[in-house]
Order: sequence, then structure tokens, then C-alpha cells
Amino acid sequence: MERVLPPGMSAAAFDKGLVALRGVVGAEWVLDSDEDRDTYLDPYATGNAKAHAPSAAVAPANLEQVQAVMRVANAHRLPLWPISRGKNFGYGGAAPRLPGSLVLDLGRLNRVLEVNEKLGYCVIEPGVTFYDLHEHLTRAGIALEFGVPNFGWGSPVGNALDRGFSFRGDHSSSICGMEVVLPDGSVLRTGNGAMPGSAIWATARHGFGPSWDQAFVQANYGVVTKMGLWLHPVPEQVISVQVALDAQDDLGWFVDEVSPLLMRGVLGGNIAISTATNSVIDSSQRQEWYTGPGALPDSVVTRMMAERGMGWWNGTVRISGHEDTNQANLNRLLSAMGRHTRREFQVSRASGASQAARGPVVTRLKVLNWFGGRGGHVGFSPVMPASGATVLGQFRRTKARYDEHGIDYNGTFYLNGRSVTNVNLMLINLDDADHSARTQRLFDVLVSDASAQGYAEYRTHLDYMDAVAASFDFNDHALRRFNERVKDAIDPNGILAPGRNGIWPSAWRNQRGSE
Amino acid sequence: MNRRQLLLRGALLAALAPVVRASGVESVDAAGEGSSAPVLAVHDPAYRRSREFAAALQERGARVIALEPDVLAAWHQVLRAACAQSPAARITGLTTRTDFMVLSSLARSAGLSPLATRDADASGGLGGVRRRATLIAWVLATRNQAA
Repeated sequence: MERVLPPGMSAAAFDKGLVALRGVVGAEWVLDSDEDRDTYLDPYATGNAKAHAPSAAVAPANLEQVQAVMRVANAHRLPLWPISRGKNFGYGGAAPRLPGSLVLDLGRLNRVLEVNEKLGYCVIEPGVTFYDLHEHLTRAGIALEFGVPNFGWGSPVGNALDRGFSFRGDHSSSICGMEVVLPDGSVLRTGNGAMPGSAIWATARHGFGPSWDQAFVQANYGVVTKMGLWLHPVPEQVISVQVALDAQDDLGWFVDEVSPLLMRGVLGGNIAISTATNSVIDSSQRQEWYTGPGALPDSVVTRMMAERGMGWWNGTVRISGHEDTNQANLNRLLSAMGRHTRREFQVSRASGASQAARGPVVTRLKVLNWFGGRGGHVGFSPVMPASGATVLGQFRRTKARYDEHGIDYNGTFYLNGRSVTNVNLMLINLDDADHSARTQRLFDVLVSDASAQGYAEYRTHLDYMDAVAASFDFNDHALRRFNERVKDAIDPNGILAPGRNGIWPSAWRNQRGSE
Repeated sequence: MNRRQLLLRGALLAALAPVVRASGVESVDAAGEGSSAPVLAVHDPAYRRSREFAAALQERGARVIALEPDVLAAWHQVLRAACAQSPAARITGLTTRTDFMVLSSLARSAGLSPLATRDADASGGLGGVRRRATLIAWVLATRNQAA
């Protein structure tokens, strides 16, 4: 893609900045060819890809270079967009919110600095991938694991910083201690890391005074260069219960029965329950099931259920721990579900070690082949209270909107205990402009609908960050005003990730709501 | 190999000739074993045409690697080491677009870029309806080869 400059910046001024950056990281690590820029675009952009086009990328090798890059960015007013591995596809990938930003690619900071098996943590850099961490643990014979999301080729640090999750739950809750380069290039260590030589930086969350770790999550206040993450001891045994619920309404009782088990610790992590379509889209193509107009009709979903032996809702409840307690917890789960259905659920048992050995995969990306040709996806993911009636209402409203827009419904509800995260996958046919446009319209409507119910998204695509942030408008957007006061105080030139999660520095505030 | 397979492979290679040429597989054939620029032909076992394409290149000297259990594991467990061992190696395949996207992204860290791509499987329609492309043929090579 041709170079897109930051709004209002001349090519000469920008080029001066690039010269200075080459002096910091070396010419080969300032990536500014058309091909380089293409690799940082959102591959699934439904609208104008230029709206989030980077001008170039810079890839520092270490902490000192990150600091120096920040200083150059301040001197030349270059907006930076940090990425760990840039794999949060569906939410914009590596692309920046503000067009013309330089991607600050942290992929070269890829060291596993420490793993402590006894205390169950690691300290890693942002360029470490899920696979790297898995390989490190496996090769060293360390009986610890970290939850891996469906699309498992990104960075644990980047994923935690975006509040990604897996069956283990919210990864940002595993963060314990960070090293952060602030926009002025200075270095901060959070929590107990503020004490030089601290022995508990990655084991005890809070130091003395305020806890800042979460202030760097889904924010643009600093560049995280090291992170402590709590790992999970590999369990003795994992019991997997394949849940299949026949009727749409079954979702309600399932939420009401399972959520209390999560709150009481009978079950751990989160429990995902998905529509039948969700199990079909990664292993077949749409044309094999339906070639008519509009969204997939319910009759086709019924045929999918019959042919694949599925329910309308399907999921795997994972019970992990010691064998004796697992069995007791399984009994409680089966007893709870048995109050509503006579269905027999398939139960399998495996050692925790065999499960942990599997490692990250990206097979789920095959959903992008659903239409053939060029496929993309975005996710609309509101959070709501864990009440069956509430969740059922959300499902019905959302599915009706999908049908109205002629988009195939794929929904998953992640039960977290007190709340439920509803990830609605929208597969996009990028070869069909009308389909892409309908998907965008559907997304807009879903944001409004959810906001009207008092639900907001836990995470969103670049295109919708301003809209979602605007829905947190108590007391005339008091939270946004506070976020931006902090932003202006620590980043007066507005060089770091302007617009991320709707937080705009004063230097770029006129870009709020821009395409 | 039966006659049907022979015809299928011949037709596949003809249809994807630009990619086959870009893969350099014929020069490997000419150079014989021990060539300094090996060709790695990957395939997705789920697709017959993908398997056949790799098999046809294997007959011309390419090393065949299945994307099992998936493309991520194939890269980390086999391809990455092969590229480190032979920096001039080219990787080619007839795979889903998704696997190509993942592999080209991962291979970038080894200095490989797309050298050639071509949609495949777009021919053959039923009832006048042209089937959409589901697979893509591609070659990844080091940047100086790609330039």
C-alpha cells in the first residue's frame, strides 16, 4: 500500500523522523516499503483499509531502543502504534487506529526471561508467542500451562493487554507486574517491581500504594516491555463433558445452573456454549449447506444438527484438578443439568499432561473459508449479567438482527460466573461488497441495541472504539475525560497510540470519530 | 500412480505453471539432490488437490510436508528449522487462503515473502454457477529472490 502520512504531517517532516529512527534501530528495522505496510494492514477490513493504514513500522530490539524510539517520536511528533505480534484479528490486527501512525513492532523483544515452576509464573517479553511459551515449558519439562485463545498464534502479553481470554478465563487477571516505557521514554516498573531486586514482583500483585498494572490494559499510557504472568499448574486430570442442548431456550437454564457452579468454584475458568453453526463453519463451506438468499434459515441449522449429531447449543465443560474432586464436581454438574434434560452427555477423561502437551493451534481460522474466496471476521462482544432470562433475551435480539441483515448467526456465550461475555462472530465475504456493507450496518445496530440494554463490549474493532467508549457516558463522559486528562499529563505530544480504546490525546482529539 | 492421478497432476501443474516455475522446482530437479536451494512443498491433507500438487512437486525433487496438526505446528516443528538450515529454501503449496496467510506471516520472520500466488480451484462450475476459489497456490522465497 502507498504511504499514508499522519494527518497534517508533511512528507519532509515524516522522512526526517524516519532518518532519526534508522539511527536508533538500524536501517533494516525501519520498515517502510509498500510490502512492509501491507503486512500491518487489517486483513479483514470491511471498509476503507486506508482508514487504518500505517505509514511504516519500526522494530526495536530491546528496552533501550524502545526508549530511544519514544524520544524520537516526541521530537518529530510521530504517532506510534505498539503491537506485540499484531494478531488480534477481528479487532484490527496490527493496524493503527490513527492512519499514518508508525507501527511499533515489539516482535524482536521475544525472550522468556524467567519461569518459576514452584510459584507458577513466568516473566516474558511482548514478542514471545503462545507457541514460544508452550515450547519453552515443554522442552524444559515444566508442568505449567497458560490458556490459549482460539486463534493461538499471537502473544500472551498482547492478548492479556487486550483482555483476551481462553477457557482459563480473562488473561488480564493473570498479569502480575510490568515493566513499562512511558511516552517520554522513561521506564516504570509496577507493583513490587518498583523495589529494586524485589523477590515478589511476579508473585504478589500489589506493592505499596496504587496498583497500576490494569491501567496499562486496553490503554495508551505506556509500552509494556516485560510482564509477569501467572501460569496454571498442569492438573492431574481433565474431565471433558460434551454438552449439547436441543432447544434455543435451553440456553436460559444452562446459564442459571452453571453460573452458580462457577461462582462456587465447582467449575473453573469460563464455560463456552455456542450455536451449532459455530461447529460447522470451520469444517465446511456455506455452499454445501445453503445457496439461497438471506441468512442461513433455522431449517438449515436443524439439518446441521441432525447430520452432525449436535444440539442447537454445544460446548465442552472442562473440569480439571485432582481425580477425586473432579468426580464430585462432575456429579454436581450432571445433577444440575439433569434437572432440565434427559440427554446423555459424553464424558471423557484425560491426564492433564496429555492436554497440556497439545499446544496452540490455529485450526479455528478455517472459519474464514466459509464463503470460499477472501474471508474475514469481526466480533461483537457485549458483556451482561449471568442471568438466564437476560442472556436469552440478548440471544433473541441479536439473532433477529442478524436475520434482518441477512448475515449468518454464530454466537458463543462465555459464562464467567457473575457475568457472561457474548462473542458474536460475523464472517465476512470480502469478495462481496454488499455483504461487507450489511455486516457493518449490523455491527452499528448491535452496538446501539446493547448500549440500550446497558451492556458494553469487552473489546472492539478499531472502527468502533470511539462508539463503544462513548457509550460509557455517565456524568457527561466523566470516565473519558479522566482517561484523557491522564493521557495529556503523561503524553503531552500525543505520540502513543492515539485513539486506542477511544482515548485521544489533545494533539489528536479532533480525530475522534474519524473514519 | 494410476493414469487418473497422472492426468490430474499434469493438469494441476499446467494450470499452476507460473507458481511451479516460481517455486524453482524444475531447477532443483536439474541440480539433483543436494541443491543449495531446496523446495519445500506443503499440503493440507484435507484437500485432494493440495495433496496432488505436493505429490507432483515431490516427483520433481521437492520435499513434502503436511500441515499437521495445523499450519502453526508445521511451521514451528518442521519448516522453521528447514529454513534456518537452508536460507535459500523456497516454500510452495496449494492450500487454503487462511493457511497461506498464517504461513506467510510466520515465514516473514525467516525473511521469506510471497514470490507468486495464483487462485486455484476456481474452475469447474455446476449448473452455470462458477465455484468460488477455495485454494490458492503460492511460493514464499527470500526477499532477494522475490525482488
